[in-house]
Amino acid sequence: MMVPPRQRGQILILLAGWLFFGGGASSALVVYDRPAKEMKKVIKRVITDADRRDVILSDLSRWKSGQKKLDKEASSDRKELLKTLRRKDAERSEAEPIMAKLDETFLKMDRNFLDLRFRVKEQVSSAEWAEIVARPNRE
Amino acid sequence: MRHEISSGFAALVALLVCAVALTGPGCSSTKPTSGQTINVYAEKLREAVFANVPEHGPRAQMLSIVDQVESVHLRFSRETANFIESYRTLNADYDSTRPAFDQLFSDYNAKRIKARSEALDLHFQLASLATAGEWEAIGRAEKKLYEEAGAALPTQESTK
Repeated sequence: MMVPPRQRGQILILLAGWLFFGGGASSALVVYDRPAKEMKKVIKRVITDADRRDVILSDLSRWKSGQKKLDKEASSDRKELLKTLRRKDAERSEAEPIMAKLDETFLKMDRNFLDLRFRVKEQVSSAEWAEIVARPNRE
Repeated sequence: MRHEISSGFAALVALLVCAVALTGPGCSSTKPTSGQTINVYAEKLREAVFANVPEHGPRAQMLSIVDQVESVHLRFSRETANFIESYRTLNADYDSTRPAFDQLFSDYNAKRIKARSEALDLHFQLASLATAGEWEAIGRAEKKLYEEAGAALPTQESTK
């Protein structure tokens, strides 16, 4: 797929801090690439067949509510981690189990995100897909 | 003698951040770029070290650690940006396979965990060098660096 020339030179340089402790691969994409709200709008615009559109939107809603639950878990663990690190006498061994728990949550988020991506793709044609993934011109 | 003019430099960086955000091409936001945010809050962390650590030896060691913290943050920012670009390319291809995505995500997560481990090593080095009194302000500035980085929205900046 062609990327518009004016966007080619543009790249998201992200804030690293919260990603160390706050999110995995799919979190970076949801926050910085395309939020679920925008995805919903695109689906509504591109998929004109009501039945297919409803199935996709329902998949999207299900993913969103699962994501919300996992976000809540991650947020609580992240707070606990930062609170631990704020203490001068904290040991690395105290931080490690919290980070392991966070990584597990991030893995679930990544898996759910990719499951959704492939579920949506299976229900659309290649032409529809090209429209769905096209980046809006953000001049 | 960059550290000697820490406070003035931070103010100058903050001003430049505002100027760039307001006048940058294609930029309609007043928010600084991630790189600029990292620079500003790393500089604030340096200021906290300067203001709270009177002894030259530990102070110099801590400032060197802050330089490394900043560098890990900036490197990971670039890695994340590269990940998003790779994802967009893969995602745009209707025929991309699940294993290709799994590999991309797995590679990125490995980089994140490596960067986090380095950041944690540096955190514990910093904490071990500070006295309890010094750590109060330094730990707060370090936490602020993470919080501000998380609170700021991403901005697009040209790589050219």
